[in-house]
Amino acid sequence: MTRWKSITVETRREAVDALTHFFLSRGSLGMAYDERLFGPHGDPADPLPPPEETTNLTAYFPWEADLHDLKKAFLDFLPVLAESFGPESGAFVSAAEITDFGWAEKWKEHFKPRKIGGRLVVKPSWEPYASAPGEIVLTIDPGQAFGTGSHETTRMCLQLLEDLFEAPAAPRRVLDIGTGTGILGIAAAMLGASFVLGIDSDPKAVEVAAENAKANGVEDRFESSFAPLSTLDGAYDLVLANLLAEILIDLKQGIAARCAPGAHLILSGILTEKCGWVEEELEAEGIRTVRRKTDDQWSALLMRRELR
Amino acid sequence: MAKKVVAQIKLQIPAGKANPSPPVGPALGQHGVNIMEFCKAFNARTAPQEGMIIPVVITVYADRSFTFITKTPPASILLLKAAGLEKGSKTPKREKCGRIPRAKVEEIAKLKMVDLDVKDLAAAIKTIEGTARSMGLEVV
Repeated sequence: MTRWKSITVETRREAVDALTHFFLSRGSLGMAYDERLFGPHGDPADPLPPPEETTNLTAYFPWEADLHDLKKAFLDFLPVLAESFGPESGAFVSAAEITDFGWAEKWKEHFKPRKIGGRLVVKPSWEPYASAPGEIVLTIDPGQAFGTGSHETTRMCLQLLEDLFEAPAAPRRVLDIGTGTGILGIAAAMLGASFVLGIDSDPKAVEVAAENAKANGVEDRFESSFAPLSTLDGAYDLVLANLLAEILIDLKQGIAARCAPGAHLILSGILTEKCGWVEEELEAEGIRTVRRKTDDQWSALLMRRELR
Repeated sequence: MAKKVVAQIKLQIPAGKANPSPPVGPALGQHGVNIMEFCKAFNARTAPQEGMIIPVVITVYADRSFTFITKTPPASILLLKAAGLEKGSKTPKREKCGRIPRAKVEEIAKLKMVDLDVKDLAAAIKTIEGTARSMGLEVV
């Protein structure tokens, strides 16, 4: 179990940056403040009402931190704060030892089956879903890995993937770089790919992806691996990479090396303003854009390596 | 129609390095936000500022989707930069660690003005001055 410590103080809004500095210089991992709750049904007001004059600020620390020392240091710091921001500019509220109450899991309560493209439906294992004829239902449990189909980048990749498998000469061998939950690779396997390799630098993701492949009955066609891209060989008809613009560019040669001539690529995780940059860099590797998809601030690219 | 806001929270966390541990985990988990998705989006947005602490305001909607806005770096970091220092004084009451010209304080106040929730520049300057003093910086 992973544990941390925290200290909560009350302060005036003006003093937040002073306290940020105070806590960071004592090893804080970061802080949260100005939390405002608007009830379970929310506040439709736009703009929101202005924040209060004072706020509770919670600074988080690694488990090794000494809360007594921190509290004492904070109390010693109060006169300085008062001198700078006026009297009553801070007060100690509480100190706590905290354990992960399942915050990485909490959102699951809101993870419901969701239709992504024309045929693909993504659902968690704990939700029932009655599929309509022609639908392909992916069961994805995220654990601590990325990719549930609720993020725009994943959704756009799935839509491009679906279209690609409907075209003639659908891809057979697929490489999924940064597979996360395995969602894209597993979708490719379910859409008809004969072999998918999903790689990830996070061992947890490799595990989660393998479990998800099993849950979808494609473990004979989907393999997840911790192997870095640079150690792979062989040629693939389709390369999937939902990463970030910077990482895609860093990996461009490795990506290009795994593309068979005429192979397709689906790249995403690209902030729209960086899309041109990614395209330019990949063009130098003989990879050109076929289609560009944009949703909110993110873009996804369907690209193709030259036939040579 | 605008989506309904159920919660808003501010964090100050290292640019490009968000992960599910605190403060992100406890702050967002309780509101049902998909933490990995926030981390990915935040890291993508702030990668160029790595090494800085970045304030970020996260708004959570009734359907558990979220948006976030990153703000200017905390005044403390800007002040240290302007004063050419690595860190502030550990005991700002007894020990001053450097000086900062009033003009610089004003410059930072102008930059931070939009994010400070203050009514005018004078109030912003006061806030920045206070922050400087609390770090052991003398405003000259």
